[in-house]
Amino acid sequence: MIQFDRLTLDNGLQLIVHQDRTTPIVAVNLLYKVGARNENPERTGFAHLFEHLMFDGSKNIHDFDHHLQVAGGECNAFTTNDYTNYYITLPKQNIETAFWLESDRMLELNITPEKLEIQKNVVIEEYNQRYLNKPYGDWMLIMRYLAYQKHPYMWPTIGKDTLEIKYASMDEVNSFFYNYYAPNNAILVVAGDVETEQVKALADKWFGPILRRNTHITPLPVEPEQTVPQLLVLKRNEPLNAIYKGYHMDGRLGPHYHTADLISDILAGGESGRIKQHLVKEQKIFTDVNAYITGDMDPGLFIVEGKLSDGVTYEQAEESIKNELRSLWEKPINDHELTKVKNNIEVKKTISEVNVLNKAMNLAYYEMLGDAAMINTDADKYQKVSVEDIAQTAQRLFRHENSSTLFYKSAQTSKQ
Amino acid sequence: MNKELNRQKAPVYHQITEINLPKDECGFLANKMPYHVLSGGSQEIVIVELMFNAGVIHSNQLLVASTANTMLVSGTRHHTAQQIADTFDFYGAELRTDSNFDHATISLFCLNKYLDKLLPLLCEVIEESVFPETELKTLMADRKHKFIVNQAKTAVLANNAMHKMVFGAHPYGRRAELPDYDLVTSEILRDFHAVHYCAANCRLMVAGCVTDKVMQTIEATIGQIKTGRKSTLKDFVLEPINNDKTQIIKRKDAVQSSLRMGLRTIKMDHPDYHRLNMLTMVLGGYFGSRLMTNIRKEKGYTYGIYSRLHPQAQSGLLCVYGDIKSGHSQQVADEVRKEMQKLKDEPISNAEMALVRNYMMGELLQIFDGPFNCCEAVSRAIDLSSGINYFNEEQACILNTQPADLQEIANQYFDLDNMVTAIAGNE
Repeated sequence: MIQFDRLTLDNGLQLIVHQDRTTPIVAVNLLYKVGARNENPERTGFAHLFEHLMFDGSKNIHDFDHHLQVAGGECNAFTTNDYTNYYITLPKQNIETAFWLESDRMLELNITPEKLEIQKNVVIEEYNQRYLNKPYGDWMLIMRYLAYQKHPYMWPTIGKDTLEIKYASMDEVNSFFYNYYAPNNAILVVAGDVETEQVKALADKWFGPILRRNTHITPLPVEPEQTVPQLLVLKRNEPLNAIYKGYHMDGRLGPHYHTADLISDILAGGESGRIKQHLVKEQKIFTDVNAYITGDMDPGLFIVEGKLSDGVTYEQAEESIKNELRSLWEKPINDHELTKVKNNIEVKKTISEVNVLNKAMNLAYYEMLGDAAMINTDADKYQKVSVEDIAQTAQRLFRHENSSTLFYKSAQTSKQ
Repeated sequence: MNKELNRQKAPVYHQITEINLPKDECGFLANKMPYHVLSGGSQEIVIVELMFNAGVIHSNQLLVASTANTMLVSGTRHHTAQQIADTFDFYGAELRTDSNFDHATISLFCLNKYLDKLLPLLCEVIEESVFPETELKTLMADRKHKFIVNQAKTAVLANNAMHKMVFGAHPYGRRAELPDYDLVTSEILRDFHAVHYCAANCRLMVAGCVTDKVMQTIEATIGQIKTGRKSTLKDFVLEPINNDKTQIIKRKDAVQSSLRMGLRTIKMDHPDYHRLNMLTMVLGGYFGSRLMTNIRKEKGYTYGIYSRLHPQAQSGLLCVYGDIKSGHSQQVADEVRKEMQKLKDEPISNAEMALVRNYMMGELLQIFDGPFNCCEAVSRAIDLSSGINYFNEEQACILNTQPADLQEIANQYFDLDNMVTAIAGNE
């Protein structure tokens, strides 16, 4: 059970404090409720580019990293489709440094056109490194386009392509900052050997003076139900044939989310997962196969992917996946399998409570979802899932018309 | 509103001068297997890691050490691969195998309450693996595919080329090719396993919530693994580095170039190692490093460029690595050399010294935040240096080293004439 205190500053900043006396490290996690889904469709990748700019100096602090490193701290950040998260861990004696740094960059940034230009280049190299310069690196970029018609999940956090980032202007940078990087659009979590009063005083001192802003969040379009299956065959110079399938599933707060998550564990959690045993080891259709969920706030995707064994056709691969999925409702799973994946959830929860940074991140995330207290109750939802729930959810989820399939047809396989 | 708040001025920071290092409780199990315990943490979880002298250097044939290690869980005299996987998965446990040039490990991560259910099976996979032919075939089909995919990655190509240039014919420089995957047989694996997977050739590390009950269970299971004999190792010779110190692997379709620079260097038990480690930090070990500042912050040519020391049993390796904007990797390689030369020519400023000192103390404090974080670092220090005491020395080094010391170390160890450069990409 994770205990925490929760309060809201006058300017709207939500503050959560969790005490853990066992560690010399304190974690300061600041979550802004803005992600790639909030981007202008013509400036995709912007939220992530902005995350880079946040490390490039603020109104009063020229070099963010320098001051943090001097205080013995580490920091990083990530951008998802739903939110942007900044985190610092440092020796508890130096906690105030984190407040000083984080509050100044919420107050005002100091971006110059030159800095913007350099960060655009860095992000383009990140794009190249992560998505383009390796086989299949762009599969999720393409999958999003196949699966989504309306919802901004159709583009990845890195952006549709690098061109849009190149066009980002200083005006756009500034208006994005004032709209989204506001105290009333953020959640601050502090976890470590701290007292709530002490943290509250620091928050009042450093974040208190930042004025509430008139944040406008545009409502997101709802993705219509998919009625026609999508298939894209890409003839590429990739080394092997590979298949990626995506099925629309519930969002993080949807009634069937936890069931779908367990289904992915039944299929591919650990080495004993069904598709690993059946399709790799027994039938040898694939040399490697996996299933998982994207875990987005709005309705996301259930992914099944695999690398085809030499000589196996696309049709055989597709059929073998469909058979496995169908067996989830035609021959209901047994209690042993269900207990197994539930035990796994219990262990994951225990592990997630080992370090303060993890706890701080999770508290911020659940608060964004609506209530930080879900950190203690979310795991119970998995325990309530029944064998029937699995069968029913699987049958609804894995309808052919709900699927998007991407097939990389290797131009090289004939040579092998 | 607080009118007196001065945001220009950094809050007073407190220098970390002492790290609370864990006690390394060690001893021997009944079968003479040495063990180390890192106790702590508030959750009832435990890691049990067995490390065998069964790495790449222990076999004349490529892929044998890693395959034997991976296949420990692929079937025993009493259980199939599927039964083994199912049992560990059922209790939410994580069973990992991993091997490198010097060692092979198998580790179990599980809740304390399931330990007595899982340790007997862990011992069974260590002692009674049979390496079934069919499992080997399936594994090799996957590993061949992964090999083929890896050959399309510039990072892998550059890394392999760099290692080959640095270590030549020494096992550290050898890399498997596609045909090697067909030469590994069940029989070869069984022979390798029989020699290397025994108590006398193993070191145990237990970390986490290690109670008396945990140690009793361990003694009753792992303590009963047959003793066997410690593996002997033939003497390997490290030849002088070849004249060819640059290799460019042309990949027309690459959108980025992978740069890997390598220099053979001292091992972790050398008295200068700590200071060289600190110097490597200055060069490219953290976000504010010389390389990150020059190549990412000022030029925007990369998402990241780093330097680090790879501690290995037979030779150290200083490595610089980064994925670079196409067309600029030669220039970046020159910049790396310039930055290294600069560290030889000029002492770093006191301010930079203080920065690195504080950063490294903070990093050390974070490493020793609980038994799981420090497990890997302590394990390495036990094998390659003086164990926990290594970190006492490390602390002393961080707190006491002066700019002149680092300059001296740079002049001694930044041997630019023997540093190799590998680039893979469209250059």
